[in-house]
Amino acid sequence: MGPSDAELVARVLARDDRHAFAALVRRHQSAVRGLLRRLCAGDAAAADDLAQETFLLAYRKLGTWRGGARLSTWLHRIAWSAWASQARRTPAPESPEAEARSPADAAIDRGDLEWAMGKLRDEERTALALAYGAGLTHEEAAAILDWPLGTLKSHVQRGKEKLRRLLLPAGGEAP
Amino acid sequence: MTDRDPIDEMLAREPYREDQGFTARVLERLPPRRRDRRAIALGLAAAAAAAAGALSLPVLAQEVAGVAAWWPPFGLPAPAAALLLGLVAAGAAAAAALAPE
Repeated sequence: MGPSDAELVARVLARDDRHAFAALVRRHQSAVRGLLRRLCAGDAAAADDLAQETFLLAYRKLGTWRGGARLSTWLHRIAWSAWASQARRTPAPESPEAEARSPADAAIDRGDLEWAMGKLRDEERTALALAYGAGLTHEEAAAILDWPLGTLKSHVQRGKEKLRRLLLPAGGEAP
Repeated sequence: MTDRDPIDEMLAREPYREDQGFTARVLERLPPRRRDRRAIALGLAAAAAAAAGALSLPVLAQEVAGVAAWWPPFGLPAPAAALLLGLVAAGAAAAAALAPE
């Protein structure tokens, strides 16, 4: 087991230790890129660009991280902010009305999920991306988004219902 | 008995993503190290001091030549020799700061 996040952060702050920062990036890159992949509805290139921005911003702001919160939560907040500010600058084109998959389509794979995520409203996609897969509790996700917990849960519920209609053949069972 | 929600399962399934050069790309885009920035500032300061010294040395030497004691190792008046040594020290410090860890 390597040094903790707090120890690595301390090394970066004390002597600009790039090895320590690299260790932090390696440790958290998968989760941050995964979150952004979902927020970007599967656009891997855009997600990775934003993930790089996230870590560069984190490097600059590392001194503001409060050890009380998990570093991963802090990084997710930065990632979400980066995505949200880009989404404000370049809004995604309106998705056509969501169409369900043809029941003839076989297994649901990751690409299908990302496609379906792209059909959701930004709030629903954000709520689902943070509340699932990022290892956050609903409370942590709501805190990152600065939303009341009830609002987060409503968006999660609505998003899940839409995904169900989009991805699951009639009957609601995964193939 | 628990009914597993297939949507919940799909959403919770988040595979580990291999780094595949991601960390290296982030490191390439970091700003210059603080140590490098200090070294650059120190180097510039040393260069400025050297330029100022080069300009003022003849005047200084001329002014103090009459009263200063000669410093045998350099054959220069003591204040001028001290200035020269200071410049050498500044240059050495800059070189040390620029040297990789």
